[in-house]
Amino acid sequence: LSFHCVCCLRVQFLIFSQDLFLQVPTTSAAGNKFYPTSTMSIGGYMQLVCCPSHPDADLIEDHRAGDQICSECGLVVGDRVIDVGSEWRTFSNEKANSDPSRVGSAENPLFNGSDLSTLVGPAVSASGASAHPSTTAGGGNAADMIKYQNRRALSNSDRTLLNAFREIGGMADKINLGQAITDRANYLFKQVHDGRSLKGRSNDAIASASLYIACRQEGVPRTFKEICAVSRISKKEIGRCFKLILRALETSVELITTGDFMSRFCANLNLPNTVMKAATCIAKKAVETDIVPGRSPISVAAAAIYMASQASECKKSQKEIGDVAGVAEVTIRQSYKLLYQKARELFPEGFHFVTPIEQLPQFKSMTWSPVCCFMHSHSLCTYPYCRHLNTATLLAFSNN
Amino acid sequence: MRIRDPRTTALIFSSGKMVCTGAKSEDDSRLAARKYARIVQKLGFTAKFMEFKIQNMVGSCDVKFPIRLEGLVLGHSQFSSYEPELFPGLIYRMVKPRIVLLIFVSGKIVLTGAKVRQEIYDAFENIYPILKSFRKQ
Repeated sequence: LSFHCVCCLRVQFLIFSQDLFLQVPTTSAAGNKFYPTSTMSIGGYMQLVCCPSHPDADLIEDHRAGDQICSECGLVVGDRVIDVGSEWRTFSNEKANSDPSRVGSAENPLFNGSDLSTLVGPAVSASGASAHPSTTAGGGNAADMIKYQNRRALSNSDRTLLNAFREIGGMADKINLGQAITDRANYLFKQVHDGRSLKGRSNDAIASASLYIACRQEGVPRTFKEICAVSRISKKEIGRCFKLILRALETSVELITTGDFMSRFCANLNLPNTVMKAATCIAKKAVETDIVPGRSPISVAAAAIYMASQASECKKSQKEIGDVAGVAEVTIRQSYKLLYQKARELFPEGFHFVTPIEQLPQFKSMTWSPVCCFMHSHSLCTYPYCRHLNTATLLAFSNN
Repeated sequence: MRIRDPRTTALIFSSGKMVCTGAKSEDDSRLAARKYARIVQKLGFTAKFMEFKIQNMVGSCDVKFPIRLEGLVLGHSQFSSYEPELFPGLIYRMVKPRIVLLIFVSGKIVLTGAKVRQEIYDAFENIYPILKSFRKQ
């Protein structure tokens, strides 16, 4: 659950199983302005404070007096309620180190245990930096930003969690994943960590696998190779951890489709929108009509992009597409050969062919003919006794 | 170590334990293990042939029709795992005879993890109607 805190413009991420009071700060000028509070009871907990005669009634907050008043009978239920909102507003473009919040940053209660210890850091002096003749030579805080290294004993599980979250955050940052995916990956990691079933596995591997699963669950899957690119773990290990996590958490993920990757691959190749749409259509039709049985959807997508780009004006080579998609050139060639046979039905209607289908590259399989001792594909040999001559050429030759 | 006659490979450990793989039937496996034990005995060690146990049996077959793996993974998601990026076949972990089946689009099936021959047959009897329902038309 995340909400945008209006007062301090920070996004707070909270999953509590407790009662919450969301307070909308009053900005009224004159008189008593009553803003009803919305009480969220998550996890089935009842409201802690309520009117004795009307337990279901909403409580109205009067911020001027600090009262909570029952909306049914007017009984003042709580008085001198402390406002837990922020004392002042902090904007994101101001320097972070001048944040005068006395309570520190938002707690991350789901992930770490209730960690209420305090870090001792350098003195934040708004004015009068010169008023402290520093004991160190050279003076000033710039030289020794961290005077006190309070190496407090974080509990082990908290430390691994923090490390893993940092790792996940770093990986997600490298491939520009949103905060939602990072949060989901963190939550998955915590679940796995609490379940202890994958205890022996490297934490980085679990982190990479949970990031992969988070991307899948959010509907924007990343290929294993893309996750490998930002992680130090091998694809095999990530794959193993992925399967183990699915078994441990008893979840399943949706099968990947070709369309999931089209926009990303085409954008990385700087292909125009028409080509991307055409490639999506080709891949979708190819999978529906099942002309590429058993091929990985990534390979089919790469081959479809190749076909669409070769038919338009911005032609991309197999190598470029292979680099972007993480598919080998020969794999693209194999899938492309299958797609080419049904090319006419695969292209969408209204596609503007810069290169017509007949002139699209064809990869005839080259074989060595022992008769004429040349490498050639079937229809090219002109030696009359080469058994690779197809019937049409033979007939044509025999007629001459 | 390898022998030719039942074409098998053996891993022989200094503790005296031995793993013999590659035989085509249970009797062949036992015969091959005995041959290895005989070889070790002939080299002068006091070798005995004790605690022979078949740990794993693998079978393969062909159902002769193509299979819709996507449908199968949707229908039996708690048993199946199909990740085309990782492996082209669907990995089906059957519960009743505890067997792992690798199911491929072409219709070829590999069954493994059995301790006795009957488990393989039972697993195939169980999976065949499921595969028929996910046949590609």
